[in-house]
Amino acid sequence: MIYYSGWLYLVAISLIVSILAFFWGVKTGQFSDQDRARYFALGQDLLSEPVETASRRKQRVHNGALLGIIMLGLIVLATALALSIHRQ
Amino acid sequence: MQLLKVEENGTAKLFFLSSAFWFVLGTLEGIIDATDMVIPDLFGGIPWLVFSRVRPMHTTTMIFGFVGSALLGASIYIIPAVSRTPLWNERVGKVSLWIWNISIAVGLITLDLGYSQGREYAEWIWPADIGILLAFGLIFLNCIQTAVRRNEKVMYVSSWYILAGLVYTWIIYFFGNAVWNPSKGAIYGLPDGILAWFYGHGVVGLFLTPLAVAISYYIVPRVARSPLYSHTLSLVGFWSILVIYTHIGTHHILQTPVPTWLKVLAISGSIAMIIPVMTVLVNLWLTMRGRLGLFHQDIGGKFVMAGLVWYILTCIQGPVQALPIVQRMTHLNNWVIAHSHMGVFGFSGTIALGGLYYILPRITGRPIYSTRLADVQYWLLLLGMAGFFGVLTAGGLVQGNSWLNGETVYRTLPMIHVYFSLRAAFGVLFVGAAFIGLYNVIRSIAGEPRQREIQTEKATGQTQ
Repeated sequence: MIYYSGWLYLVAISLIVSILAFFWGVKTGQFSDQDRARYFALGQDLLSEPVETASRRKQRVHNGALLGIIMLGLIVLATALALSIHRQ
Repeated sequence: MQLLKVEENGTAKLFFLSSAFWFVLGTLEGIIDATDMVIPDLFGGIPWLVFSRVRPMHTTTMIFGFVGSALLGASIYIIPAVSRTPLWNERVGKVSLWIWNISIAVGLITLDLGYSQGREYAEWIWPADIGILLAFGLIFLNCIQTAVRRNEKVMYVSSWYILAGLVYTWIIYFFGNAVWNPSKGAIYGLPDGILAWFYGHGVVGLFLTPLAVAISYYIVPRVARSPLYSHTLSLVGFWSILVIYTHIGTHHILQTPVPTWLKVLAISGSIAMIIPVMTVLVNLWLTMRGRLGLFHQDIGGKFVMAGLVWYILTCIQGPVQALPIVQRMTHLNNWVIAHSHMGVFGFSGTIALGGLYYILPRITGRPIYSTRLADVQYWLLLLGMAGFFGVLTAGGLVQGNSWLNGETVYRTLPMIHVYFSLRAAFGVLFVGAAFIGLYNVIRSIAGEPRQREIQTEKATGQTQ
């Protein structure tokens, strides 16, 4: 166990930093008025920018490409799982 | 002094320019490596082109130079924007920018000369490490001082992610590179392996991920013209990633004599990562729902959307491949290379480019030089990444299955040669996209948008 103490210190430091930040957040009211915080990314500058939507064809092509990537990822993952279980 | 000239958002702008430059270099290094795998004798043993030197140059250029620079540039823009206050000190920002770039250059040049500390993603020599730590320190100082001077009581979730990402990256970089041991940059034995992977995994999870998520939380509501679905949910995700992510790196070394409790901790933590990931994805999806047309039209939004798709896959694949039963098939082969490219480039890199293309026009006050070129770059990268991922994953499964059949490593090499060739072919798309990106960014910063495109847009607008 002592052999790994260096690594444990590191995890402990990380957790301590997180806990300190959390208590600071509670103390300074960072978790209050969450509904107002939802709007922080939006700014006045957006009002002067035009709202443009892609054509339906463009949307179909792009959605199709992204869906294809998701399918590819899921298929290879299923293949790896099947092979792993088969070769157990 | 011109190099440290104070101008509004000048630091963010130059970080974006740096990113575009390092992207070109990083992909060129990558294509050299990919070619080396197909034709090992091509470079005839030229020392500065050998795989063992160029490979760490490629990974560190892409992580710190390309993706890191763009994420930092976007972060330095976003913190003031959501805090409703200017950046604390542009001059400090410029100093951090130059230290950052010089450190990367020192790290890469010395690697090419054969000076390496030999630990993955931590190969740079000590002076470069110190420079990187100094740059992170200055960037954190600038961001925290800006956040302290914010004109909103509550900090937006992007600020939380950026500040935490900078603190954690400093910690993991310091320990992961063992900077108290300048000659080696390492400790000893198995604890060094654990430390190295605490760092190796942390670079993705505690540097690239928080900053990429911060950018998404900024850009998605803006492109959707809609408030974030739930700020509370975003904070749940933030705190859970902090608690879970720090100790899961050991899933990279499950085959070593690491104590079982540590392996269990790493695997269970990896699976638990589904919680913070789902909070991000569900929250952003519910924010953009019904408004996808806006994302398809906005080049920055489009990159971010694609990055989030890669994020879904990375974070479904990650927990599953942390399972020992799956690792028997996927570990130490090209499956992992596909996964790491998906995480660093597909997810973080694509979102970093989204940040660049969304923010740069708002800094310069004019549209990017050519949205068409950016669109070409987008499709080259999407196609390249999908092909790259598919090919390497398939090659990895062939390797894993053959090894389980008892084949030796060298007998599997002919089997995966075709996958290596295809990998190099897809790599060419990345190189082309990087050059297009650099050209577009330089012209966007330097001059006016392309006249022909403006005329086309005007004509389209008149006909609508």
